Amino acid sequence: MLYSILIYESEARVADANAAEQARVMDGHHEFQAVLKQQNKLLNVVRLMPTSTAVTRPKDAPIIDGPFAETKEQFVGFYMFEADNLDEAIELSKHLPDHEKLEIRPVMFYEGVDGNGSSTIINNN
Amino acid sequence: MAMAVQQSSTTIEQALTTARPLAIAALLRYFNDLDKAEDAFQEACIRALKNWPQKGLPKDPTAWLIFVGRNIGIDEIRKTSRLSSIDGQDFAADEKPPEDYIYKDDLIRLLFLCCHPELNFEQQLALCLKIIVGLSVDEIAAAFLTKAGTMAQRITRAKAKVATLSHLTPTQQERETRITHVRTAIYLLFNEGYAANDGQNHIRQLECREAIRLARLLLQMMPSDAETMALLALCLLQNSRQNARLSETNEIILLEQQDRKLWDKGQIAEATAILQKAIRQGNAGQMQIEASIAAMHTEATTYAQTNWQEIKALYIILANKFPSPVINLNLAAATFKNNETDKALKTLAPLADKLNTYPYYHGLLAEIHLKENQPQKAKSALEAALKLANSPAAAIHIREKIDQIKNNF
Repeated sequence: MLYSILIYESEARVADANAAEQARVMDGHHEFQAVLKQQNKLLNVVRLMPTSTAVTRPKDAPIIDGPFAETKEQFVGFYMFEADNLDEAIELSKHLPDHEKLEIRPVMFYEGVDGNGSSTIINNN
Repeated sequence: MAMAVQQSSTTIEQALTTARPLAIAALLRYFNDLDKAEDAFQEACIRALKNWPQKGLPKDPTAWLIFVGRNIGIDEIRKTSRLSSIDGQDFAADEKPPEDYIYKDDLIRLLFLCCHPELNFEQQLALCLKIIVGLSVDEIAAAFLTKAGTMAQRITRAKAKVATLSHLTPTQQERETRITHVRTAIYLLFNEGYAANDGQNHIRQLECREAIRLARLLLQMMPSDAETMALLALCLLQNSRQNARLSETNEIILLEQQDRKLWDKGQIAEATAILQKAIRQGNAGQMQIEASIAAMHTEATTYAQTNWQEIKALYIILANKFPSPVINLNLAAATFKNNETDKALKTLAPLADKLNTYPYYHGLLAEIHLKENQPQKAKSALEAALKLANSPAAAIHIREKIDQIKNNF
């Protein structure tokens, strides 16, 4: 099964993080990526730019600057990876450092490359 | 185990740093007094450092600090006004802070206050660093190359001045002017750190970092404001070159000689994305034009590929909209780089009086004289620049150029 981990974090906290804190978080991510790569399970690693760079196209309204939702945490990035089942996905996710919220969610449809780098289409629709 | 404790203390310190601007701003609303707000926040932080390691971080650290800080402040006021609380009941204790309350107006009011037009720029920057960022007087003094005593006095005077000013949110009409003051102060703060960064004073980099933080904060408060987007983009674009500007022995490396691989691609990419958003709104302000110029430099993969024609065009717009001697100096420089030496000299001529004490004016003159094969004139221009050099690294750089002329002619 293909899983995603959606990462939510407070952008203010990320922006204020000192070098030690940044290193701590990045070490966790590198560990997670290394473990998955070793098993050829890692498909995508995506880190988004801050929401200040975003625009939103609301339905029936002109484009606005940035997501205006005033939440304390923002969607900052995601992983796509293979796992046999939810238990394994959760187990693997434990290599990641703490974030405000990590959402583990199975993928319904995917077109891109698999963990070995070959083109693939996964359709659980 | 020791590791885990250490991590959590970094996390706590980080949370306190992040919370500071909003918490101080909210406490200022309660107490209408900068010193009281600062003291209450300080005391709340001490309690946080006592409580959080065992109990863990509260769900909303900022709200916690505001809540606790406010109660501390109220207790303090009671003590000094000799009022005892009725039946020991704390009237503020059961009043929970609203969960998702965003203290936007508070923060804007605090920024307006610290960058009040009645304060001079030195006072504005000192107040921003002391109150919003939370640097110590010693750190700020080191950043501005002044004595701690002088800086303490500057801050005390600024605070005294602030106490006489209205803390009210300005009217809608005043707002745009006041926001311009805030943006300018943030950019000056950035420049303080950037222009004088000689690799030996690490606080300089701190100034740049904190200016970027304040720009982010301001943009968060007004996410649609094109000039604030441009301010952040401009700071990020300049800052992206930080690692390429100084050699290992702390000598200045000019744009022309910089190793562009050392530029921070992440900062450039983010700045470019934000600038593109700002440009979509049309009606470019000063920050936007300046950021566009900075972006022209980062776009060029080599110095030779710099699009001087476009940069010159942008400086012409800037000089028409916001005339100032320094902008005209930059226009002259871009004109010269665009191989229009005569035009450049014409632009420079009327600036002689106003920029006589500005080292870059003499630097540009020297460059033009050199190209015109007039080494003696170039040498005397460099000697004038040397007297005005604003950092040891800059002085070394100018002296090297003088020696080159001595050796070559």
